[in-house]
Amino acid sequence: MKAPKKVWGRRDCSGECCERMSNTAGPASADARVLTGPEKAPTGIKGFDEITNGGLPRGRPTLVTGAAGSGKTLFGIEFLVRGARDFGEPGVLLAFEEAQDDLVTNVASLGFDLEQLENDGLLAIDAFRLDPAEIIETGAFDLEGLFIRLQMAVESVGAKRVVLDTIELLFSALPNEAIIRGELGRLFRWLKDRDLTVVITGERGKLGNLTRFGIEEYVSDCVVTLDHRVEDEISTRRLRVVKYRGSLHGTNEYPFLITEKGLVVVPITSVGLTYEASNERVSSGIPRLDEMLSGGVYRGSSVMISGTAGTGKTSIGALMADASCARGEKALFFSFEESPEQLIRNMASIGMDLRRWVDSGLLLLEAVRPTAFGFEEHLAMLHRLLDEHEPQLVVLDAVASLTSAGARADTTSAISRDLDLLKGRGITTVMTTLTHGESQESSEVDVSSLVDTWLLLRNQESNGERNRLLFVIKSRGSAHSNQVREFVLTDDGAELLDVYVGPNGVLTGSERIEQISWEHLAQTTRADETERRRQELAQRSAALQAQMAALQAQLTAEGAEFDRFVASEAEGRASGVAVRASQGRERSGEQAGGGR
Amino acid sequence: MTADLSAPRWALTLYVSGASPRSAEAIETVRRICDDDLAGQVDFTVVNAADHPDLVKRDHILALPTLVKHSPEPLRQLVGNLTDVARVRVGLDLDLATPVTRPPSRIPDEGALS
Repeated sequence: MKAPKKVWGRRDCSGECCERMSNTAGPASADARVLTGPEKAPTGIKGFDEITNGGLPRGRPTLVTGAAGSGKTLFGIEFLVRGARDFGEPGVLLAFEEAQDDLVTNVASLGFDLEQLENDGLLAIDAFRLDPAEIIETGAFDLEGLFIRLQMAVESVGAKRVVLDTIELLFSALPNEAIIRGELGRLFRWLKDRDLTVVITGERGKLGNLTRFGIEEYVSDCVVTLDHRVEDEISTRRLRVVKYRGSLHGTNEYPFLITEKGLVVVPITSVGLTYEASNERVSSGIPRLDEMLSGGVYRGSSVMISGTAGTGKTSIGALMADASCARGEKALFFSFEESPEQLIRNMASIGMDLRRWVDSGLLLLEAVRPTAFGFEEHLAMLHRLLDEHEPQLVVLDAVASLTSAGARADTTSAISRDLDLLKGRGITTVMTTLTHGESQESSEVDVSSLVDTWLLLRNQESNGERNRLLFVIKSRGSAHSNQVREFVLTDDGAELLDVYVGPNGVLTGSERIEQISWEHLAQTTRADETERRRQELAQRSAALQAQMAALQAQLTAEGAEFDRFVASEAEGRASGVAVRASQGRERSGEQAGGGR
Repeated sequence: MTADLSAPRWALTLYVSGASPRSAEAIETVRRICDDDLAGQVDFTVVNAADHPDLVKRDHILALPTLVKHSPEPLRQLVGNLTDVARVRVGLDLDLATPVTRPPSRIPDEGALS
């Protein structure tokens, strides 16, 4: 039994469901019963197996329908080739449209070597020549010849997969529709009885019919439509799973590409929102910006740098690539505006040497005009470069340029697919995007809600000059500075400086410098005053000290005087006693001696 | 018209599926044409498709029964049990045939392979 899935926000319900489920299943059968839909045969087509949760229904027919040139045959052939090569399932191709030689040549450009596969006994091709000029219907018939050939082909390789490339052509070659319908019914039963996984291609009919001759009636399990349309002179191929009996599948129209490695379906939601979130931070290459973002941006997150023309978006992008290379991590710089040489030269002017990274193979500079291709090709290119270069950081310089390659809504979807792709791989992404005057806080291509960190660069015009300001508008999952910084590009790189906020607003550039020098002057003046006062104090203190010394001396002198006085007084008292004594004696002598 | 009547101008192969009634009808029809219109001018073979898938593939056979006219040019496939006689005659270019004046010859038996 499937593990009960946690349903966010509906906890009470999920608990109930679990109980009910375990009751019906019973404890004993809990391990034995596995709930699965129809078994699937992987196509090996990039992205397709993801939107169909595993591929085409095994042992059943799938109808692939689309207009001429929409890639139906390629879809079928890739299904066979990958089956034979990667999944050990040999296949049979019954071609009604093209001669065998043509087929072999046509798919060789996609890297599919049909001849080799035939020689290896993994593939049998039987091309039917249906030339209406050659065929005359003269009465009742059946398609036993087709069955005989199909059986021979299936048995010769032990086929598990069959592609009928465009069996509808039978209807044009043989006019008796009733017979053909009956025989097709028999054919599909025949195929089903042998558990063959079948792809039938069909040409899209008029008036919204899936096929011209209604062969969808034989195919009830899975229907895929391919579309090739041109909008704004840019072609886009799209794929849609119209129907998939017994299986969940993505129902959107997915762009797909025909690349040199086969088809690539680009599901916008292929990675969903399930990618891992790294807690590691990587440096932006500007120390003060890292501080503003509490340590840098998260690895694998997406950073958008928006700003008007000439605000230094590309420079920040290049700085981040530079920082990545300096860490020894590969980076890819995808430029829609400048050539690699131009970029290297321009970045050298702010003291950044990108060439050494290019030479050492750490940095890949890829420049392409946005108008050169449609979105799919851009995506295909990105895919290929990611596979080849395996970067850990990707800079997409000026994604808004992509709008010149198609409608705006398409650009948004293309970019969100880019982001999905990159996030799914854990690659840190830096996008720059151009904004215009009024819409500075909404990005040109409406992807601001998709990015994790958004840096806004703005030109501040004052005092006859323009200066760059940098804001961190958002940074998911991390504290970030709410302050504005002045962003200065110097010969030695980029710096972020504190701006001065005063009564007249934010001061930048020469005003800031003026402010600095004014403050410096004021500080100097204050320092002088302090020194003067200090000296004054010292002098005064010295004077007072001297005074104190003098007074002390005076005090000492007065003390000495007093001592002398006390001493002399004691002496005087002593002599007085002696005098009195002698006087007494004298008086008594007078008395005794008879006086003078 | 050709001067050389000794070499058969018509080379026909009829692909059939076993002993089905449709196939039997077709064989019968072709026999009649060979006897009536192409006597002495035809090399006719009947092939049981199920026994010879390689030939079926080589001749691009899709439906059964199918009568393949290898010559005279152009190559043509007559699909079906050949009940539409008018179309069969057109398909086989019988108007090019020399009118038959003598009994038929050189018609191999059903099922024989040349």
